Amino acid sequence: MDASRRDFIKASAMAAVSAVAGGAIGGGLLAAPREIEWVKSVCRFCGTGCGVMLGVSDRRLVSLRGDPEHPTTKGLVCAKALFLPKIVRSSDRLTHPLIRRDGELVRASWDEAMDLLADRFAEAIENHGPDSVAYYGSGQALSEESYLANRLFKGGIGTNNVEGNPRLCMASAVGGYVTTFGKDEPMGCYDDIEHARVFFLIGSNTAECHPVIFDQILARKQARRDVLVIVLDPRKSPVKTIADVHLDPVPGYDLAVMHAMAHVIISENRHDEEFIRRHVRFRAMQDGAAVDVSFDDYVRFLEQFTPEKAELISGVSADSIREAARLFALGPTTSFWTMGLNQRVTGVWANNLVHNLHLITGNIGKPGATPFSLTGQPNACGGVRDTGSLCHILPYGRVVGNADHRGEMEKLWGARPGAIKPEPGLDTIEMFRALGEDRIKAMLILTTNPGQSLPNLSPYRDAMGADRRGKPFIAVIDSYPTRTTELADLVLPAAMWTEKSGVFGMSERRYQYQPKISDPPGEARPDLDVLLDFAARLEKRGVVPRGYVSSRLRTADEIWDEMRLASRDTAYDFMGITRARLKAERGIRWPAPTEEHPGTARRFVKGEDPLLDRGPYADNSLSPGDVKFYAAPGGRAIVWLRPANPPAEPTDDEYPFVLSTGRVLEHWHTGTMTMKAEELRLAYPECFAEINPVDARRLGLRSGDRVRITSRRGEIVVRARVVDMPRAGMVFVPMHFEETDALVNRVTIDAYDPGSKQPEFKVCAVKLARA
Amino acid sequence: MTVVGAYARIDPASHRSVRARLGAIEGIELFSLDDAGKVGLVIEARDLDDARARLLAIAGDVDGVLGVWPISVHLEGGDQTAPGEKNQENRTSLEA
Repeated sequence: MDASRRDFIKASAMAAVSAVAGGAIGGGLLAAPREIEWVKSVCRFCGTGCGVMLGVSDRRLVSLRGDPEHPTTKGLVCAKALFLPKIVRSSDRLTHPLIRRDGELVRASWDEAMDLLADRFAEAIENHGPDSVAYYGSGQALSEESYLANRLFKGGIGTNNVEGNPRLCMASAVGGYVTTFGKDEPMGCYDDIEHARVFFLIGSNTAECHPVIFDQILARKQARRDVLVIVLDPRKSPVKTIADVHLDPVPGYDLAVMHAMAHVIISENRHDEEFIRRHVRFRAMQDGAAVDVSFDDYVRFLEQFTPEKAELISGVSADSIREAARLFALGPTTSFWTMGLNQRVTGVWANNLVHNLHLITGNIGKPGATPFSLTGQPNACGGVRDTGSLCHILPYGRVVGNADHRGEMEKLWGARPGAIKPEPGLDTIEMFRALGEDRIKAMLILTTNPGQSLPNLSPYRDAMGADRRGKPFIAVIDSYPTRTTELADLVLPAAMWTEKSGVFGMSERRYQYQPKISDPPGEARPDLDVLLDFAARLEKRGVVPRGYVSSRLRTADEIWDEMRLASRDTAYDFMGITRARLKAERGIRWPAPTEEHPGTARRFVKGEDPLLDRGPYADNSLSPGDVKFYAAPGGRAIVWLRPANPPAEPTDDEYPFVLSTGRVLEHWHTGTMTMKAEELRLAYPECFAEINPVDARRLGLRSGDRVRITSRRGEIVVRARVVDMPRAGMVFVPMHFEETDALVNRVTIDAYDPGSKQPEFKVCAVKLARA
Repeated sequence: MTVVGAYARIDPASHRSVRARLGAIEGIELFSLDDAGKVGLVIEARDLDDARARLLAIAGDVDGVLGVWPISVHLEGGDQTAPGEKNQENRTSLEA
């Protein structure tokens, strides 16, 4: 590269940083080399939804930078994003359909592959009924893809066996929002970071898993000395470096801590009586049914969770609990949480208890005050939760158990009346159990890797792959070979990210458009094309009504328009988020019922939420700034009296340690993308187990030793990393590694929350031994 | 060649000394930003691996640096080679 070009690119890098971080060097994107065209897009990784600018030259992605004009992420990206151009071009991309013959996956034509897919599904449906087939999707699929698959299976085939990997990560957050506020999704937004005085970070390694959010919190704390951070996490993740109070409960016992915080808040008269009187009601479960109780009942309930009693249950000192409660009540308080709360058998309840703290202190519905569940995938929210692509729900807040909701969707979809079943389909764990029992005869898996990510993995790998008479047919659509494609009977190569266009919906209800800028390798096709083709072939075989999909939907644009119609007059109303707006703007937060509406920062707040002005939720008796939880019965959010139940598998003499799984900065989920970048892979060339020094001394283990981690379900052997991060008695293992010895989900437990059906990845009992 | 633009978030109280320590790292060009709690960085590296190593060195080894946030990456020529391709090349040459 010649000197002038080098200087130019360096000056351009300086300009990009200045645009984001504040500086005098201008020029930025305009100054880029002329052959580079800059296109706005969205990062492919987590649910933060960072805006990015992609530099394209000769239809190749050559540069990536944070988009300084993005309204919330403001040009920030994390290290993983820098590697995306390289990851997309990985040489092991799947490029041709593969069919398993004599035990080997061999190349096939698309026509042959799609006929096989349609034949096997049609055969199962005709011989065993619609519930003998299933779809398992992803929070990484585009919204249009998930919506179409959901539409095809529920309204066309007639089965609610529609699931996706958000069941493993976000279902308890959904359950928390729905049971407390009546509908899913956060009411606040990232803007709240700039207004919060207190941050409550619970079960969230924000620094490594959502680095851009963490930087914004850090900036807020740097800007104002009175900004305070409470961290509730049994592991001293990097987040602890900014904690003013760190609460480290025994894993699985934090519900008592949050109840005790509520106890302190009320007993010290730090609650907001007026807010409670106007906006809250109290409920408890009695004899299996939810009943209304009073504020006094709640106060009496909390007596079993004094800070001292909570200390005995959780191991967190009473003084720390008091300090955290007092800080929380100062407000405005923003809470962020992720899998530490959600991946638990008490996940929904834990979510409820965060909401309780916000509701009793009135820390909600005003700038800087909101309970906010962060998401791990780019489109778990917009793609799966909002489109209703789970076994019990339908698009935009509807449920399969409601006849009116089913009728609305059948009409919109052009399905026959009664096509959608009233009973929920099989949730993720039950779906894979059914696969193992050969009750599911054919399954389509799209953009996800259950062969590595399911808890208690071994029986489910057998369910998918073990050769046997009557073995179910497994088809996988993906961009890379994975631990799931190796089990499949049919593998279809998918376009990824910049090779297709569509919508991602990220954590703050912002829908963003991702344009196609390059062609996929080989014969890979966008998932949407594959689903449309699949639907047409099922129509031809008579197992889906003729024309159900093919006569109505041909393009992503047409699907998006139908999605907008499905949202009309619901609590998600985004009729105003047209394709043209998405292409022109940096995302829009729903609700946005008209094309003139700019999008909504805070739901449920008069003057901000347009649904309080018109439509079925309108209330003209309210004044600007008033809060109304219109999706909840009676317009009041619920403070729940939830028991502090223990985890499914407490430790005992035989299995005395708690295993928690999680992520590291450089890697993402099952590593199918980040392990493709050699630099990232070499950052963690092999799996490891973090072990507290106290435990390591007792076991005679040192860093680098190989340690066997055994549960009642399986074992792994990995290197020990002795470090004062996990609490004593706890072991932490990242989930990214695919080598059989390091497949940590062979050890984890598949017990799940009875409400959300989300498995308890964060707590199971194990024993350790030098290997 | 790879060029990464980034900023380091630093302790404003020790801005000058942190800047001096950062300036001593080879292959990193510093520039001022409006915020005393930040320093702009341009990292010119052989490839992404090299760039990442320098970012890590800044974040982990320089006293007074609270964190480093990359903003942009530009890949030129050979660095576009994906790791698998490199591996295939290596394998071919070894076999030869």
